[in-house]
Amino acid sequence: MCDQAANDRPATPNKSGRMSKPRSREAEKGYCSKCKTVRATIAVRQSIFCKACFLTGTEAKFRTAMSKLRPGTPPRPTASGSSKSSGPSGVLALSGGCCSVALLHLLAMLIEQDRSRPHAVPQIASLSVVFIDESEIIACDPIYNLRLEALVRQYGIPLRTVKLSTAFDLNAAGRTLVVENMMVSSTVPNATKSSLDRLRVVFDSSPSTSAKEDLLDSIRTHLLLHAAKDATCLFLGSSTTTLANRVIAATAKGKGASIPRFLAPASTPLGTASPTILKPLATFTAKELGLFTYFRALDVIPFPTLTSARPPGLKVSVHHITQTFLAKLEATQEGTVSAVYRTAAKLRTPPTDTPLCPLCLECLLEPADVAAGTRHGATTAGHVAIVCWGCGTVLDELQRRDRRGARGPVEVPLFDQIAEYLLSDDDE
Amino acid sequence: MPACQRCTTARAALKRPKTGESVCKACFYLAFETEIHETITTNHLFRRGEKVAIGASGGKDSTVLAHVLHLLNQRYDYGLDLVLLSVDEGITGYRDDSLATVQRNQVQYGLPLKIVSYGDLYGWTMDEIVAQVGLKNNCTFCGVFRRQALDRGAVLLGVDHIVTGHNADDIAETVLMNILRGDIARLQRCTSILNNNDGTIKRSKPFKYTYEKEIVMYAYFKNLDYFSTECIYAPQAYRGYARTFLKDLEAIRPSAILDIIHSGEAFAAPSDPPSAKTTAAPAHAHGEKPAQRDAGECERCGYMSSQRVCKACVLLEGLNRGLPRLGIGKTDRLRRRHNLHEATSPETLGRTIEHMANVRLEAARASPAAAASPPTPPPPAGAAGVGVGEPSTALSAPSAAAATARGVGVANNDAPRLASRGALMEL
Repeated sequence: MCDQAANDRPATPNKSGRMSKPRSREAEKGYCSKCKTVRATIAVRQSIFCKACFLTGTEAKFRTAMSKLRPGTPPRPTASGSSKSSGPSGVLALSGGCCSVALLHLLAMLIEQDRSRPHAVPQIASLSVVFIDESEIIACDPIYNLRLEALVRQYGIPLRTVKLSTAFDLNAAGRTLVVENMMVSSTVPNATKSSLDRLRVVFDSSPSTSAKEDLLDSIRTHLLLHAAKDATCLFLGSSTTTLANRVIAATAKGKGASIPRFLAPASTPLGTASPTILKPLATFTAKELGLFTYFRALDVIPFPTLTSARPPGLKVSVHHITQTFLAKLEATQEGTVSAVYRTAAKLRTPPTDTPLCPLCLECLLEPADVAAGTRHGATTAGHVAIVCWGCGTVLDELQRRDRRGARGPVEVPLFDQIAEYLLSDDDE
Repeated sequence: MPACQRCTTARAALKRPKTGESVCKACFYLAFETEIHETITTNHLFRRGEKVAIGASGGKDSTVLAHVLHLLNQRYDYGLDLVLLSVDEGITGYRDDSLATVQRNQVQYGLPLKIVSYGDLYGWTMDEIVAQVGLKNNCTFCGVFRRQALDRGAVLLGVDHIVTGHNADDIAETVLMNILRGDIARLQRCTSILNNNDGTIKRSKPFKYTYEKEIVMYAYFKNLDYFSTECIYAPQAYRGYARTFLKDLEAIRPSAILDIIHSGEAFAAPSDPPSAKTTAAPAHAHGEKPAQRDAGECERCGYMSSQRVCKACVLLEGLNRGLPRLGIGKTDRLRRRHNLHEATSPETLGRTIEHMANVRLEAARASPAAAASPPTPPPPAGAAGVGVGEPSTALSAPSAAAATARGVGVANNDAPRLASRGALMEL
């Protein structure tokens, strides 16, 4: 039964007139829950804090989360054989949003503190930042890029910018993937079109924003893993709120099987050959991180997304609808976001040898009979055996040319993981 | 007008919500019915010769279910013995009207009908429950009581299997709701199409992959008789949030409903040892362990239960005592505050639910006569709410005798209650 029903404290209206229950017995008195001497000004989770305690508490919580993650273990075998400096190396994926900016600040702080204690074993010896530049398909004010560079420069950490169109160059043989109805095949692309043109064709031709967002996510994942291939770990700034949104969105797309994988604070989608993906901020809500970046006066850069330019009430994509829904629900039923996160974190996948979907690197591939025919009459059919259920829908929707049903083939980047499949099919 | 995408000969009359295809009526009916037939056969829901009770509320889902099962039973020769089973929760202005619809269905499909009511079984109607409990937790009472009511009715009818009209939208909403409320246990069970646990009657949901919109279209085009109003106590239910979200998703991507069910199937728990939770309760605070109680049965009414006392009995105790929060959420503190121990003497509990053993006895006694008897004509409209063969009187006479023999509260509506119905004890 829902825990909320057992809470028998009476609700009282707060300053904005909203009925809310006092967060805890101590909170009713109005003093910080930690130091108990200063009047509290911040309400997060189920407690209230003063500003100083909030900031030190956040930093301490981060240090604990990092020590639990243990980025250096197990040590990765290095392909080049070069001697590593004193510890593991990390790459941080920076998007400019408050979560990844907060992560940058906290990681830089951690490295600094470790450096000032010569006998301590550093958790991260070296850090670099990767930024995926989406301006090729999402128009953006160039001043945002300058702001990003200035932000990273403050910490003295190297920044690398990767453009989206380089996804088409990832495949060593220079081939691309063509999808037509249920058939996938690799082909040597038309030499007259540049990678940038090919990218623009994919994103301009389909009306389905959800499919475009998913494809963008997949491209980003592959680009990040590629950029971090020589590092020990890849840091992502996913917060509880981000992950809760992803849980519901994944459920809505038929990718429920991927949830245990992307919720795990540490994961290795490409096995031991790839960096470990770490999410040290998984237990922080977006509200905490937002407040942290505000108090530390960090520059949060609002890069536009595929859904930014629409009017607010218009519902355009699965991700967008989910985000709005959860935000509204959290406002009326506080604790929903962490309930979603905690529930999903209890889901377990049975260990299995089935390979991961090569497009999203999250879901397991299902047996061919499930993927092909058993959508129970619905025609957004999956592509037999090569991608997961959710990605099958994505590839299907990308082929749509308008809302009335016209379709055409689509050419997407061919990632090495997919290429392996196609080559092995050819061999047969 | 474009041609039907399936038969390409007739003119397209509608666009299927599930697939977006433009089809003629005949192709729609065939596709709709055949998909349900495939769901039934792929999941091996039925066995030949089974007696199957259709949970019938008079609403669109159960009306279409009765119609389609009746049709498929004949078309594909399932060899099933179908009956209609209805539950009267006692909601004025809603349930009494929909039951009149079920009685018309009984005549239209020629299927026997049985109605079980909360008033007879528990001594409380939903109207009375809502008056005491309010509008926030009332769905819990109704759901728990309905489940037992259906099982008891099924035992009386001697059926092996209950089918309900839960459709794809319902199941998708349930998946979402369980994630949002943090109910991992239910989340892992809610997409199973067939429930066959020991101790209760087998249940299945043939409409698991059928869209609600298509059920409505089917009923509309076929002119099926159904009652179409939402429960008057429903608006404040938590399910409404999940429902709105689902409708928004369906608008941009119709396959989202099936996608959510697919995700829900991935959440299903790997098979746990079945009796792990139904072994005898751990040593009680008072160090007592009842020796005669079977593992997995409620000690008061004999219904299947993983606890000493089943949820329905706990909720009923709460109602009788004027403690409507008993059984909702964690109530140990509530029990301690009012000194309610589990080993309370029967007299202070108020009316309890009739023991399952008596129900089975009653069914066995009635079955040689009832099984072969043809369905009796429905009673006149004014007597709505009384089932075939006047089951309520048949129930109360022998059971009252059995009940008094055990010293439990008398099984009629005039039983004195511990606290006056309207009074709420201080929580």
